[in-house]
Amino acid sequence: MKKIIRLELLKLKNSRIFLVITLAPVFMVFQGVANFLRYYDIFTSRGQNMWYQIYLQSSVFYVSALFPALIALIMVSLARIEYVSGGLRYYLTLPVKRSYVYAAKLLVGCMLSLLNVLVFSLSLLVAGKVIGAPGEIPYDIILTRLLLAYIASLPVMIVTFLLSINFSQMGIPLGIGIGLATPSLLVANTRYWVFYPWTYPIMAALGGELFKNTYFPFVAGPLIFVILTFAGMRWFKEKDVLD
Amino acid sequence: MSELIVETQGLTKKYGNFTAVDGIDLKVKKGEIYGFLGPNGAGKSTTIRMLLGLIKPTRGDARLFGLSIRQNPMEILKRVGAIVESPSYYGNLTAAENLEITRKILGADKKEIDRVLEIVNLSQWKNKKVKNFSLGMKQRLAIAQALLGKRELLILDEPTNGLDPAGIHEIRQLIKNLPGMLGVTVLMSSHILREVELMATSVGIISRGRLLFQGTLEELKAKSEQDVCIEVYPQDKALKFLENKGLKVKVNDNRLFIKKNGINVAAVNKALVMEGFEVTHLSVVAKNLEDIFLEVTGGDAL
Repeated sequence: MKKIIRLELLKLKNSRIFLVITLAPVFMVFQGVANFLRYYDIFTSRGQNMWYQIYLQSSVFYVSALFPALIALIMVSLARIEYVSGGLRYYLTLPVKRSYVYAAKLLVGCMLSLLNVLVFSLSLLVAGKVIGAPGEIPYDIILTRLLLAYIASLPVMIVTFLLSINFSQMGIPLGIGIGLATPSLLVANTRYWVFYPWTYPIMAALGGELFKNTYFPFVAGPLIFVILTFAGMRWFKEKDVLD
Repeated sequence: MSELIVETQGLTKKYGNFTAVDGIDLKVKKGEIYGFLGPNGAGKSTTIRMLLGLIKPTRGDARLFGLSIRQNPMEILKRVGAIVESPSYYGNLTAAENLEITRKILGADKKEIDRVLEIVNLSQWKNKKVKNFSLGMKQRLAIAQALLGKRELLILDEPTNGLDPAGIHEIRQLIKNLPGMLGVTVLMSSHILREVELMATSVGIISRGRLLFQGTLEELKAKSEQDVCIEVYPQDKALKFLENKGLKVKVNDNRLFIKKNGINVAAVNKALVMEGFEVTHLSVVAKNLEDIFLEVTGGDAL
């Protein structure tokens, strides 16, 4: 299994995905901080915590739009390298278990998504230091909360993963992935958010009135992930490889 | 009785109401080059994908080395090198890295990469990205991948498809030499009759999902009947004369054709001449493989 994971990483060599997932969060923090500095007076007039303010400014769009879009991009890229020139149909004629290929790909996708969150978190830390935010570094916000948001994103990851390996054309899964993320901020403000997993990371990262004392995303999220992962694996093992 | 490397029993694949492959019994013997011949869309690729476990058969089973692909896929795939349709590769990786993937999975020796690159003449390109390769180079890389490790069977789907004439010649020579050079068995599909005729020792003809012929090239050629072709004047009278003698005569292009089976050609000639006809041409025509192919498939051209 280790060998298969290493091979999945090798396949990503020279792909621009690493560049995108590390630069995009940095950019998001950059514009969040820029926004904060532009309205510095408003954001600090009531003595608010500067760390929390830059966290909010940066993460609203990150967890609601950029992160799910990047997840879709990561998963689609993992599938695309297999479909663009018939890699998968070759790879599966080698003595390699389909369940391993599936698991390794999903794992790499989830790890790249985590890397993305960690870069975002690190960027917040650096940004806070650069603009001289006072007080102790609030790790519980800029790290723990984001990690919780990551866990709450597990359903988004598995759904986009399954879409990506099902469609050999990249446009469909990418479009659906981004399309589903678009209304999430609106849905998050209604009480129906529990039915829409794309809101879970928003709830985990930003909380809000509807979210008080709710552990729902951290139970439902991993549960949906596990169920879909196994259902998807069964499907992938039986799937006819036609591309 | 030589050992069967590939044997399928009633192998069938249906997509809804459409039967892509219909009860095929393939038999590929050890050490031969088996040409799997049929028009595009006849079911060659579907059959090959079923042999390799990429597609699950609706009915029937495929056995390679006496093992079932359903029950022992890992055991079988270790011993089989394959090209499925157009060459498959990871374009963002170099030739060596593509081969490294195969090598790691097979647990083969590091030296294998250089060895197979040497065989297909790609050594100088080993560290170049494959997406910049020409189609011929990609095809050669695909063959190198299939050769890596100690494979006993090569399954090559349309190995010369899309190559230029020089590339086709090169790949054909390479494949032709493989059984002698490395002791492998080759199953290759093609929609080009000439190619199968040049390379294969055995041939299977598939059309509309059915295996219509299987055997050696000689057996295929023997299947065809020869015709006697006669140019004679006046033709219409000669036609009547021959028909009155109980012969079945076809007229084509001012020539008369009689099936050669059981006919004494000299006697026919003599009879015509004695009767006062002017015989200007008389020959026995062997049908070419293309005609035989059309006969076998009932008119489905390649």
